[in-house]
Parts: sequence; C-alpha cells; structure tokens
Amino acid sequence: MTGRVIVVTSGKGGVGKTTSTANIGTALAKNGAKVALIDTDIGLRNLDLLMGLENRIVYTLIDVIEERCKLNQALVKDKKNPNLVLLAAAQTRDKSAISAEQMIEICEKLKKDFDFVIVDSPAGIEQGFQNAIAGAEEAIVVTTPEMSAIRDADRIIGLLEAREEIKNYRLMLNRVRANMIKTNDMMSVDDIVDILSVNLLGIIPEDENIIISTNKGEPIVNMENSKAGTAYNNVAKRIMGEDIPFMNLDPQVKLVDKIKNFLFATANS
Amino acid sequence: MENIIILESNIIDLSIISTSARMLIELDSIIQKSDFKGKSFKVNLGDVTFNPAHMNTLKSIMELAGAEIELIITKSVNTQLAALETGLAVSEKLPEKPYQINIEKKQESVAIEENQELELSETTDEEVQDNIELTNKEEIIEEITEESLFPEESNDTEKALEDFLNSEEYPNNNQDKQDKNEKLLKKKAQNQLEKTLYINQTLRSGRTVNFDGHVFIVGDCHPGSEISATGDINVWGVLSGIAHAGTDGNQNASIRALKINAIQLRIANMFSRKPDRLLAEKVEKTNTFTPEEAKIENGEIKIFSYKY
Repeated sequence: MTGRVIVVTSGKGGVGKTTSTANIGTALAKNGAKVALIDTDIGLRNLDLLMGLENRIVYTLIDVIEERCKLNQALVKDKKNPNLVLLAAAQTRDKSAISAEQMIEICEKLKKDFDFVIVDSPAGIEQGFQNAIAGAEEAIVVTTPEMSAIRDADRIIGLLEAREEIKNYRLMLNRVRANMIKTNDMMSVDDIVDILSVNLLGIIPEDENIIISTNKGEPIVNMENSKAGTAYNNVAKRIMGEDIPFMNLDPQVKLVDKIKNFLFATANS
Repeated sequence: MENIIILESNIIDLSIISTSARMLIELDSIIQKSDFKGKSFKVNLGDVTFNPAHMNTLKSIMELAGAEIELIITKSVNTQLAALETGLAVSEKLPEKPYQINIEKKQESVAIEENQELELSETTDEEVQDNIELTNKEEIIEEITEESLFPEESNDTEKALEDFLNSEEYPNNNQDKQDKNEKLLKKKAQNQLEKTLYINQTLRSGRTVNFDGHVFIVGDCHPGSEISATGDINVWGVLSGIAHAGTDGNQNASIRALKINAIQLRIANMFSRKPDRLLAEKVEKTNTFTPEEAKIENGEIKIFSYKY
C-alpha cells in the first residue's frame, strides 16, 4: 500500500504548524490509520516536545541519513497509540545537514509502511522548507488571520503551485476569534479564502487549552471538551475523505451569563 | 567605412559616422562603387543633425544614382523636420536587425573608427568592395531571410499595423504623399509597435515580471508581486501589488486594471501609494470591478475610471 505524504507548512513562524502536525497525526491514528510524523526543523526541533516523547529519542533523522542506524530504529512509538510513530529531528545540527534528495528517499521508504506520512516543515522559504516539501504530494498551508501571516501564506502557496509533485494544497486557519470577527477587528474566513484563492480544510478556534497541552506534552485532541480539539478531529476526518461541515464558532452565550454580565459588568466573552 | 550597406532589409546605416558632411561624402563614395539603380533604401542617420540643405543634397545623391529613399531613420528632431520638409518619410526607430553576420562586422568597423580615426584609406576601400561583393550574392541573402524567423514576424506586425491604419480612410490619390506620411507617422505613434508580453496566470506574492514593452496579465496580482515594463501595464483582474510602467522614462505610459488596489503605482520617475488602512482590510468582492487607468497628468499620477 502507498501512503499519503502531507507536508504542513506556513511560511510565517509561530502560526501552529507543529501543533497542527501533532494533533492531526494523533487524530488520524485514533481513527485507525497508521501514521508517521517527521520533524524537519533541524536544530530547533519541537514536535517531540508536543508529543511528550522528548525523553525517548535515541536516534534522529540525521542519524538515519548518515546511516548510523536503520530507519526502524529511529521511529519512536507514541505513548498512547501504537499506530503513531515519530521520526525526530536533530537538535545539534542545522538545516544544511540534509538535502532534498535524502528527504525524498526517506518519504518513499515510509510511504510503504504507513497510511499517512505527515511532514512538519520549518518556517521560512529556504533550505529547510525546500527539504520538507521535497517528498510531499499534498500540502496543508497553516495561517492565522493576520495580514503578515496571510502575506507569507500567499508566497508559500505560490511556491507550492510551482511544484508539480504537489497535487493538492489546502488552507487551515488557526487561532480564529469569532468575537473579533464579529466586531470587524479580525478578518473573516471568507475574506481570507478570497485573498488566497485556495480551498479551506479547517478552522481552528483560539483556545487557551493549547498552551496547557503543549506544556504537558499531550496533544489537545486527547483532551475532552476543547473546541480546538474538536476542530482538529474534524480536520482529520476531512483528510480521510469525510465531508464534515465547519464548526459554528460563535460564542454560545447562556441566559445565566447574560444576566451575570448585566449585573456585574465583568469582562466575560 | 565597412559594411554600411545591409542589403537584406535595404538599410543604409550611416549612424556610425559623426557628422552630416562626412555622411554625405561616404554615401557618395559608396554609390559610386555599387549599383543602386531602381532600388529603394532606408537611410539611418543616427542622431546627427541634418538641415534642409543637407537633406536635399542627400536626396539628390540618391536620385542621381537612380535610387529612392523609402525612409529616413533618425533620432534627432531637427533632422526629422528637415526630412519632412524635403518630402521624405521619417521614423525614429530602426527595424529589427538580427542578421548575425552583418552585426558582428559592424561592431568591428566601429572599433576601427574610434581607435584609428581613419579617413577613407585604401584598405577600407577594399573591404568595402569585399562586403559589396558578398552582399551582392543574392542566393546567400535569400537563405538568410528564409532561415531567420524573427524579422518576418516584425515585418508582419509592422505591415499589419500599416494596413490597419491605412484602412481607416478612403484611399485618396489626390492627397499629398507628404501629408499621408505625416498622418501615418502620427497614428503609428499612437498605436505603438512595441512587443507585448502576455501572461495568462495570477501573480502571487513574490512573483516579478520585468519586460521591455507592454505587459498584459490575465489574472490578479497579489500584494507582494511586482511588475515593471517600459510600456503600459494592463491587468485583467485586481492589481494589488506594485506596478511600474514607463521604466525607461516614458511619461505617457499608463497602468490599467479591472480594479486598481495597488500598494504603489509608479510611472516613469513618479510614484504614488495607497492610502494607509485604518481598519482590518476588507476585501472588496471581486464582482465589483471598477475598470481604472492610472496616468500622469499635470505632474501627478491620477487614476481615471471608465464609466459604463
């Protein structure tokens, strides 16, 4: 069987690539698929932290390429889900340690054994980014609803369009605040899709629980009752082909809260 | 001087000679060595100034040889006026000259002139002879013209433009030839013959287009894209990036788009920018196109909209 190689990229840093990779991978594995995650951010690796697997890394991507170990030895199984493995980046080298051809080789090998290979790309458009997209056939472009992130996403989409091997790329909007969209302080989803002219894969609302989950080393999809977790689960289902409608992000104001707001004038949102 | 005649496109190129008097002397000597009878030539005078008297002399030299002057090519305004006064057609630009053989040799001859300040010496006479012999071999010329496609294209375009312009009026045989030529030149200037680059895709952030001529883009230009052209820029879509028209100093260049939302508009050496945004940018939906054109008027870049 051949798996699907999907690269998660953005151009701009800090918009949620690594968080998305961890969560989408975990959600796909929960649905039964065999998933491999690759961290290509050599020198500034974060994916192992988010997955809580930092202490278990013995061999990294660079070790595999420089043939100090076999590929199987470097794949770290997830704590909770044996379907999910991680190929971590090296913290002690930098992005010039690997070339695009080597990435293609690794993706080809992993494709044979896994349903999904998700590649976490570093920020920027240089060697790191080019390595990450080298072996990919699909792409998820992550952006937040800010002008700077959107401008960078536009550049990235241009670079992806120019690459024939990537047949399909979709947008994931992260850290969306519905209340700010209502007061016109934040760009609406329709505006962003219009500017970028690209299909929408998912909308992830801003959620404080993300910070908690990162610090714990536990992807948010495992947490119950979190909006972001539900959104990531929906994204995973959409990747597998199901047609899930986009969540309604309007804050649900209960009557009790309305009265409270009126009486106590607290800054609840 | 060597190789002034380029017989394939009938151009006599005197532009390497620095004064009008020397040009006339040179032309005279060339005429005496070759057979111009019944042929029609374009004479390139570079940017040397010819007054009407010189122009008349030029005309009579050619007439004595039995040749006709089809066109005077010159960059100098005074020479253009002198030519028009004498009843000759005028153009500012040379037609394309892609013939490799002749161009290489021409560069050699320029070098010799600069370094050695030759008057017509015997050696140069002989070389001129050789060149004339070479170019007189009609078969060689025909081979070249069939192989190189480029000049045929430009001739077709020029001919097409002339046909179009001439078809505008009823043919009036009584009209003075000079009048006709003047009108034709004016119209040609309005409908320029420059090449156009046709791009059939949307330009995302980071893409650049740089062209010597006009540019026509079917698609949007996202913010972060840059277009620069010596001619006009036309965008069949929303222009949100930076556009620079008339990069060679042409103040008459314009920038047109179905919607001008550009970060900066630059025409020749002027530029204007979009007003600062006060709110989170609302994208105006693409079905509200307002076709607009930006031009320089009274020393400022102004945007004119087309009413419909």
